[in-house]
Amino acid sequence: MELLKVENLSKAFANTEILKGISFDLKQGETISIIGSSGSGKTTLLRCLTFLERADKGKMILNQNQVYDFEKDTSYETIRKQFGLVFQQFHLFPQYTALENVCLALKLNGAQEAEEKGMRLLEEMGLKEKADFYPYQLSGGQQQRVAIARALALEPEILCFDEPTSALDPELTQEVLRALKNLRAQNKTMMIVTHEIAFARNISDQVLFMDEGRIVEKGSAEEVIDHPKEERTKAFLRHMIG
Amino acid sequence: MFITVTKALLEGFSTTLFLFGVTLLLSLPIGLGISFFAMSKYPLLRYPTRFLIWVIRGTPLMLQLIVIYYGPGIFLKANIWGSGDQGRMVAAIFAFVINYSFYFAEIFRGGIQSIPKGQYEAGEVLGLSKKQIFTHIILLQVIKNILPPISNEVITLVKDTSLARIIAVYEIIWSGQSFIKTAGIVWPLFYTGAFYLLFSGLLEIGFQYLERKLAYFR
Repeated sequence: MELLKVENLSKAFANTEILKGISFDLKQGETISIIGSSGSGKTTLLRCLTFLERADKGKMILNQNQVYDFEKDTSYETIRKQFGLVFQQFHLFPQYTALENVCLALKLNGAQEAEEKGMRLLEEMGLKEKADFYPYQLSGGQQQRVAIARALALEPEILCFDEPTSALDPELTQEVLRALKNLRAQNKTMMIVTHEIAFARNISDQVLFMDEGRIVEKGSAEEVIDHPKEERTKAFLRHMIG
Repeated sequence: MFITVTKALLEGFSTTLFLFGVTLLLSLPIGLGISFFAMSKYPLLRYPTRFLIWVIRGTPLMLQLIVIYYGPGIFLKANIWGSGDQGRMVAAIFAFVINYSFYFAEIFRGGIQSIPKGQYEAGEVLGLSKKQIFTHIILLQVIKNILPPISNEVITLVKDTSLARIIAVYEIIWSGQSFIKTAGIVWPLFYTGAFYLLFSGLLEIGFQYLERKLAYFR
């Protein structure tokens, strides 16, 4: 079933067009990877979908019935709830422990048993024994896994990752990628902006290659990464894989 | 004599403490409000606020006391402060609160703007309201960041209260000085220093305690 349909999404900053009509579909339980060089608009795409940036034009349709028109509609709270976002730089709240970070939004929403849920999520991320640690006491990989647990706490339909391993040392990258694989195995619907090409090939149902604000090529990992058709995709992959 | 002087100075010091306490209590929240104006996205709020910050920070507090106390009488032909000691105290409090509010506003502004944008964004994608983000995520980080400059300002305030004597508020220096005329002795004036030192020492201990309290996160 189609969970998300994005149609003709466009965004300009000042006079520079960053997204030039992005369209794609995402099915329930699918993992989609978005690859492309810096400045291609990948991050802006995620930020528009999560309303951290305001897209100028385009629509998104959730669950085949909730339509959001970026040009006309204003209030987006109910749509936003369906997206979670994990940042490149984690952005954990420094004054809260790992567990408190995960539970904060639940508690502020008045949810019951927030702590139990938080513990469950931390355990899932392999961080049960770090529950009472503050962010500065954790490694980058651990912080990012706390951030993932925090995003999961609100049970979003679609979990977005903005270069989740780009701020990490290579040896810490693996633990975060493993966490993503576990989520994949649970059929979470995910959108991952990443530079980890091998990982993207491994985990993705769909791969989007973006360049200069457009989707140049999309398809299965095999199609886009192993057998790219477009010259720009080939050049990018040659550069990334060497 | 020592006891008589100490008693007199304590009386002056209670006025000093009163001025200090009321100023602090009012100017911290007002300063926070002004900092929001100074950061407003509306130029009509932002520019007048910046202008006032420039005026208040750019002129001596002593001059502000004089203008605020005597100004209404001269320009409006009205004594809006009421008569006697009480009127002068009200005018002094008014001047101090304005002055310190604008100083604190700049400290708050610096502290708030030093918080990375990602903290707000992380709150936003968790569906928190602007108010929730500020009170539950931003505020404590700001307090931790601004504690050192605030403690500086607060200790300066202790000493600045002595400026109120320019409009004849009987604070401790006034009390000390009066012994020169009445008893021909200068040492009570020197002795006032001990009161300031003791009180600012206590404040420093208090701020150190707060800083340690907030050292649990980075």
